[in-house]
Formats: sequence, C-alpha cells, structure tokens
Amino acid sequence: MTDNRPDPIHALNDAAKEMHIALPKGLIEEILELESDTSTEHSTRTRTVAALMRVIETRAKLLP
Amino acid sequence: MIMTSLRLTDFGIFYGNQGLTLLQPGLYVVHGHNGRGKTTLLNAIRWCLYGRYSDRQGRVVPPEVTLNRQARREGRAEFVVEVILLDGSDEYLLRRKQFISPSGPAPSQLYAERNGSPLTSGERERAIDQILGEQVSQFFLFDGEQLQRYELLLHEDGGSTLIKQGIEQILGLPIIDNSLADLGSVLDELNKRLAREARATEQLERLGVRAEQAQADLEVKDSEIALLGRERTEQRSVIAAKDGFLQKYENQIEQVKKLETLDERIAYLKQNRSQLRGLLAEELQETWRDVLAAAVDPKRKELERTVEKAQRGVSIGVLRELLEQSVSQHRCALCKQALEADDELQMEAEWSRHAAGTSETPGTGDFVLLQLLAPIVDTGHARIAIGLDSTIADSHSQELALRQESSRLREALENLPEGEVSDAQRYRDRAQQEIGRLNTAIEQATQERAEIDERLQRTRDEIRKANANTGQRMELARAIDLAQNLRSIFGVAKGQYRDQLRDAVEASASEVFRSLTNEPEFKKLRINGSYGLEILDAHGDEVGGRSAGQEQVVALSLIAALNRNARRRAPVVMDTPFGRLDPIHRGNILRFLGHLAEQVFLLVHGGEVRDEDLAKIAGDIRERFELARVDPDRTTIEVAAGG
Repeated sequence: MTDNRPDPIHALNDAAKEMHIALPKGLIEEILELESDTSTEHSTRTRTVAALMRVIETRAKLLP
Repeated sequence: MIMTSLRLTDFGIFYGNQGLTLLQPGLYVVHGHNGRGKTTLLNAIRWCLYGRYSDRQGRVVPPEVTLNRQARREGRAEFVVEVILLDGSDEYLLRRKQFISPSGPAPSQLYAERNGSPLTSGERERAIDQILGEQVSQFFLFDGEQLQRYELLLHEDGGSTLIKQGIEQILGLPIIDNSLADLGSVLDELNKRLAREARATEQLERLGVRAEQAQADLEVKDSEIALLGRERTEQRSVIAAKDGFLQKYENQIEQVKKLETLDERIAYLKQNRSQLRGLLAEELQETWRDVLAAAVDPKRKELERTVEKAQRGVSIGVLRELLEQSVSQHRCALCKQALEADDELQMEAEWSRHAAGTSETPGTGDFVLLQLLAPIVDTGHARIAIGLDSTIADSHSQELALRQESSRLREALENLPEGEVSDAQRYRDRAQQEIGRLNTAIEQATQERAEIDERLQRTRDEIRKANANTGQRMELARAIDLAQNLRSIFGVAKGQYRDQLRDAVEASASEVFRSLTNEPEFKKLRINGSYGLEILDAHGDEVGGRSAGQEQVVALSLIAALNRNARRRAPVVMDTPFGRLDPIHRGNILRFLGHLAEQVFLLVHGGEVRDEDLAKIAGDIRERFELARVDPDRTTIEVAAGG
C-alpha cells in the first residue's frame, strides 16, 4: 500500500511561503508534534496550550 | 496498528474463556452462520474500547443481556473482554470487566497497560482516543448492514455532520484545528500580558516626568547655591577692603579701645565711690558709740569687779551661817543628819577660814551706773568708717591717674578720622553678619539640594528597573508577531490541507471504486464538501439512482480511501459486508480486502461468501476461524480446517 497521504507540514510550509512569512526552522514540526494529542479532554487542551506558549516564547527570544 | 489478541469470557454467546490469539497483519476470515456470534465479536471489541455497544437499531445494549445465558444459569455474574493491540513498538493491553449483582449492573471496570505499565484513568482515556477514538471507529469497526449510512454524506445539510467530523479526525484535520484554537488562546494570553506591559509603560512615563522635574529642581537649587556663594564672596571682599583700611589705623584703634576702657573705668570708679560714700555715712552714725566706749571702759570695768566681789561675800556669809548652825546643833543644817566629831571639826575649820575675809558692800548707785555703761561697748563701726574713707581716697587717686592717661590718649588721637574708621568698622561688621546669614542659607540650600538629589536618584533607579523590562516587552512583541503569523499560516493552511485531503480521498476512493465495480462506464468518484462520493460516468456526469449494492461499493471505497489516507491506522473489522452484493462485486471486494488495511477481519456467513470464493483469495487469507454451535447458548471459536 503506497503512502501518498497529504502532509500537514507541507500544507503549512506552502501557506507560509505564499504569505511570505519566514518561520524559525522546525517550528511547524514542533507545534504539530505538540498538537498530535487531539484529545478534547480539558486538561490535555490546557497542557497543550501551555506547551505551545513556551515554544512560541522560546522561539521569539531567538528571533533576530 | 494491529490487534494481536482478542479474548472473551462469558460475553454474549461466547461461553467461558475463548478468543483469537497470536494474530498478525493480514486478512482473517471468521465464518459463522446467523446467530453464532459474528456481530458479537465486533461488539465485544467496541465494548472493550468504549464500555458500550448498540444494536442495529442504535439502542445501547444493557449488560444483563450481554452476559452469557448459560454462565448466568451456572451462577456466574461477570463477563470480560481483553484486547491486545500493537502500535509500532508500543503494546497496549485493555481489559474490561462487567459485574452484574442481583440489584443490577455496576459500571464496567477498565484496566489498561502500555508495555506492561498500568495506565491511570486519564491515561487510559487518552490512550484509547489515540488508538481508535470512538468517533472514528465507525470506519474501522463496521457492520455491512450500516454502510448505507454513508449515503448521507452526499447531502451536505446537517445529518452527516458527525460522520464528516469523524472523517476529518481520521484524516488528521483536528491537528490543524486544534493548533488554530490553541494559537488563539496563546495570542489572547500574550495580548493580556501586553496590556499589562502597557500599564507599566504609563508608569515609566510618569517616572520620566518626575525625574525631569527633580532634575529641574536640582538645577534651580544649584543656581541658588551659586548665587549665595557669589554674594558671600562679595561680602568677604567688603571685609577684606575694610580690614585693609582699618589696618592703617590699627594702633590708633587700639588706643581708642584703650581710651574707651579708661573712660569706662573712670565711670566705674565714680559710681563706686558714690556708693562707698553712702556706706561711710551710715557707718559714721554709729561711730560715737565706739569713741564713748573707750572713755567709759575703765570705770565700767571697776564697777564690774566691785559688784562681783560683793556677790561672792554674800555667798560666804550664807555658808558660814549654815556651818555655824550645823556645828552648834551637831546636826547638818541641810539634811538634818547627826554629825560625827570629825565632820564637826572640819566644819569649824571651814567656818574659821571664811571668817577672816570680809567683803566690801557696793552701793546702789554702782549698780545703776553699771547698768547704764554696760551697752556702751566697741562695735567696730569706727574702724569700718576709717577703712571706707581710705578706700574712697584710693579711688579718687586712681581716677586722677586714669584721667591723666585719658587726656594723654585723647591728645594722641586728635588726628584719627574717627568717622571713617567707625563707618569702616560698621560696614565690616555688617558684612560679617551678612556672611553669617549667607552661610546659613547656603547650608539650608545644600541640604535641600541633597534631598532633591536623593529623590532624583530614587526615581532614576525606578526608571532603570522599569527599563529592565524593555527587553521583555520586545520579546513579548516578537512572540505576539510570531503567534499571529502562525495563526494566519494555520488558518490558510487549514483550507488548503482540507482540500488536499479531500482530493487524496477522492483519488483513493476512485481507484478502489474502479477495482470494485462491475460497471465499466463508471469512471470515477467525485467528493463533495462533506466527503460524500458521487459516481461519475465516462462523460463526467453524475450517475443517479444508485442501487443498494452500488451504495455499498461506494461506502467500501470511501472506507478504503480513508484507511489509506488516515493519520493513524487501525485494524478493520467488517461484519457481513456482502449482503447486498452480487457475486461479481463480492469477488472484486474479496480480492481487494487484502489491500484495504494492514489487518482486516472479515466476519461472514455461508450465504455471503462461499468456500470457492474464499479459495480464490486463499493466498491473501492468513487464517480462518469457524464459529461452531454447541447449543443455543454456546458458540466456540475454532480454527477452520485448511485455515
């Protein structure tokens, strides 16, 4: 069985390119990894938002 | 992901403990006549995962009905299903138990472990959601009789919402949706922080105004101190100039001072003499007594002696009379006791001794005269008066000498410009006083300056601290920019990704459909916004009026397409999927099943699939099981002959 599934990373990188937005390398992958737990449980969502906040703050510090 | 084991205990028609074990990837066929437990196997998996299952009418089946009847008759009250799943390198064991007490069933209990480690309640729910969420399970664990439900997807008006959500979850769209929602939450939080920082900026502005004011106050105070300093310098110049002038007349000024001292001394002597003269006058009033005392003193002393002698004679007379009386009466005249002879002799001798002396008796005039002369004694007033007189004479002499000195000095000072010197001294004194005032003012201004400076330093410290947050504000602004960019990207990408997924599902479904359908005119499937699939003919026109069999083929095509494009893959368990299919379709689907998913369980009865049909795909079948009848309440799972 061939794996020709669309990849959200490609879709996101394409969108960034279209919008002429340069993102830190690996950031999209890092966010998708965080969001891979798609549980709708409140604690899971809260934990994911907190982790996402940390990722964005950390990446923002490294921006030129 | 594959299922490696399925064990059931007293679940439905499966009496005792039995199941399917040592399962691997591939196609498994479970064959059984109606009522032998094919659907029960499917429901057992559902119940183990989600704690409930429904009948074909969508009603949740109560636990009391699920317990095997024979087991219940034998007094057992518990049924169990255990599933082991292998997901990559992770092995999950899920075991659900249901106890039915006489008063009714308690909630079922789920035990789960990952790689041998028990999971907590929250971890269990999360693990099941990741393995095979209930919403998406309809595409993996399905009843062939229910396949026509997917026809709803052709109508994008509401009824298909849950199925559409399930499809998008399988395809992984929630990862974008969740990212968008979470980025929104992150942006909200960052913007809240920005608002707080904005308040801090306002505070910084206020501090800036305060610092500027303090700086201005400091400059004003510095000017004030400088002005006072200049005034003090001017006054010091005045003093220096006046001192220079006065220097020339230094000696004369000294003499003037001396003259002033002399004048003061003369004035004092005069005043003192006046007082002394007053005292002298008082003393002279008593001096006559001292003069008279000297004259009467011999006479007074004589009279005193005479009187003293007379007084002594009277005493001796009394004594002689007592002695005489005692001797004559031989008894003491005072105590009346009888006298001894010796005592009498001594008394007589004493009487004789005093008998010789006779005294001169003074006259009455002597006593009067003595009384008059007694107060006239020397009191010292005369000597004091003489001393005062001498002092007055000395004072007078001193004054004369001072006057002579004063006259001499006055002559020497005749050329002194007294007015100018006096003015110079006055100006100098005034300048000195002014310097004193200025010193006090400078001291006070310096103190005030120190207070302003301290205030300024404190404000500057606060500004420095507030400015230390500038870096944080910049980072915050960058984080907001980054989050906004991400949200924009995810927003745009969501639509694109959904379109890509839809296209991929359409392409996969069309490919599967072409291999399943027996109608060569059907060229492809077209997907709509709800993932509904329309059949298109060679001209690209939609084929209407689809039969139940065609509907089933389209549904299987969709399921196959979803399995191909799913973010997470799972075993497929199909129950009685061929009920509405003709032999050609059935053959097509059987040939396709080995490619539908990594692991497929086909639950069929003899009416659907014949042995010769299975023989045609024998190479694809990993193992066959037979659901064998023991009695109406018991089925056993057996490996089929030749399986």
